[in-house]
Amino acid sequence: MSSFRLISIRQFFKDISRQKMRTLLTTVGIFWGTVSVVLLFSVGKGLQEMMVTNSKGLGDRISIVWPGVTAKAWNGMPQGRRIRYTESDVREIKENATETISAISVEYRSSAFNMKFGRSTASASISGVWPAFGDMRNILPQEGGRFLNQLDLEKKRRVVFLGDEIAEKLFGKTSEIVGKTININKVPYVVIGVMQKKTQNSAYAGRDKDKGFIPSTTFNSMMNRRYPSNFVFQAKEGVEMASAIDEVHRVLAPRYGYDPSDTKALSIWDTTKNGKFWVNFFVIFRSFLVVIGCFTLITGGIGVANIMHVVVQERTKEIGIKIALGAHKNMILMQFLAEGTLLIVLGGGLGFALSYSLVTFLPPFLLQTAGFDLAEFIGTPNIDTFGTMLTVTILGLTAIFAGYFPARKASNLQPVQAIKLF
Amino acid sequence: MIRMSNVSKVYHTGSITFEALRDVNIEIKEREYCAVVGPSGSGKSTLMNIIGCLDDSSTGEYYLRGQKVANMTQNQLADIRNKTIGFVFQSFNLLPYATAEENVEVPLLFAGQSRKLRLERCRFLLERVGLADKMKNRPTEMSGGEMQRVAVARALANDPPLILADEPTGNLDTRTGGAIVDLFNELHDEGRTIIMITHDPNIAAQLPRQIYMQDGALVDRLRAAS
Repeated sequence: MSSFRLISIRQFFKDISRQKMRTLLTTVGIFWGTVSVVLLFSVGKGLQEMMVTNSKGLGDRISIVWPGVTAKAWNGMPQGRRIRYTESDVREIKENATETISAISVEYRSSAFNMKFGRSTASASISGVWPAFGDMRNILPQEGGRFLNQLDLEKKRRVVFLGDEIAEKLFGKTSEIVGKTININKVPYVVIGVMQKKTQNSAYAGRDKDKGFIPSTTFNSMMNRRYPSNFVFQAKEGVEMASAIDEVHRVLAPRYGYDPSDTKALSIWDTTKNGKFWVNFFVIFRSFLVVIGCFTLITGGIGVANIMHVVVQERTKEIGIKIALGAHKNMILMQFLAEGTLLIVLGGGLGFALSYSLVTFLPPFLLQTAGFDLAEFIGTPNIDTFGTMLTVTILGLTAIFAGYFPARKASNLQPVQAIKLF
Repeated sequence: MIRMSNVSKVYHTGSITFEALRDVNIEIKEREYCAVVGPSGSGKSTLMNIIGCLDDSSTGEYYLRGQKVANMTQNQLADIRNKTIGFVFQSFNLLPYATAEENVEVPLLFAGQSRKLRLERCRFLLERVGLADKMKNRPTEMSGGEMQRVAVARALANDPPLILADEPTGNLDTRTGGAIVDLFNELHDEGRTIIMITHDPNIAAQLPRQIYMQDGALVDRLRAAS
């Protein structure tokens, strides 16, 4: 069979050289189809990954609760009453809502604190929180540091956890600053940790990188607030956020005398709704890509089918001669199948090569030469396994269909039909 | 070598049926050298197609070297065309893009011969037909006589015992044609069976046996055209 392969490959290159333009156009069709599909999927994947990572910047499965105003009358009291809660209310929720809530923390916040280390100063917003705040909001310490703990809270320690940007401003660096003392509004605080760099696409009252975090007890001893600015809680894994929110209302409604079904009594931001939006968005986005990809590749495939069809037509005489000279049916079939497949492998292979190099080398290249980071806008394009598999599958199917039917037609020719031999 | 009994071939084109061969009975022994003679449309080509296993008969039985052709598979027929029969056509039917050498190589490729053997055999055969210096030439760069000699070399590729030729001199001038006929005489002297369609009465007269055909049937001799 090896001798047969030789003639087929040689034949293929002869066909290419005889039909340069058509072969070129067909290969470009397949090539371009592959490039666009792989790139579309890569960019799509990069975008999706960026959205997922960035939405985790705010926190996992969390809701943020601010004071609200009642919208319903209740037990003889009118609507429009302001509902605020205290730290002990939040503690009450923590103790009672263990079925649905896995973590909870108050947050006292005030801006424009004057921070000072040596000669550097910075103005920053400070949050007084419970230790659970860190994990819940994905505020994670860099190596060598830690977030606030229970002891800090109980002993009202003057310790601070710094966002990475504010640390950079004060110290010019983010490492080796744990244990140093900074002044906050002229009171000394010990730095216990610096936040790991993170991307955060949504926030309330500023990004975490620009903030400092201290124990809520310490915050209150300094500022003497009666009401927290807000509190943050995390729903248990597998629990619907809605039932966790219900639980919050069940605890607070009797205490403040409002209708537990009054959704305006507290102002709640359910951040999981963002996530749901993006999940749906990307399901639609990807289906769209799949459709575009299929059509692009099928267009290329039609080109290959067309060229193979013409090749068979033009070579009817040659096929007849070969059959007369003793070619088996499958030799003819394989010859044309191999030709169609080679075209597609060539176009597809070049397409994959180009898209992989683009995805690998373009983002760093842009960052270096043009000075902008692609990742900030569309995330980092990433070769998408699903997209690649899909492309390979469609290309394979196209190759089989585009090559097989003309090839079968060729191999079924009877020598006396193909050519007048005698 | 060849035995046919009551072989007929009927073509159907729409509602029209055409009987190209009717009740042909013939026996051709090994080493025979036959001319097939007859006016056009008399069934010569149909007969050759059936002998060459390029077409099947509608009725009747055809035995090639004692084997019933109707019982063979497509691949077996392909192997017979490849190894047992050598074809020489009036219009040469060379592959236009391939060199003389590559054209001769085609039946050797289908026979699965090694590259070394193929090249040796091509060189030997092309030298034999006097084209040693044209091995790398394409058909477009050759004269009709040269092309026909390439075709003869190709027919001999797998050393077949039977040669079927269709007016091998038909497209050639007398002198070139004469050289081709000499080549066929040599092939016969080597012990091959040769069946040759010819319109040339002189060539037909030289051959030991003549087969006359008229209206799809074998006849003893041709009626004068009226």
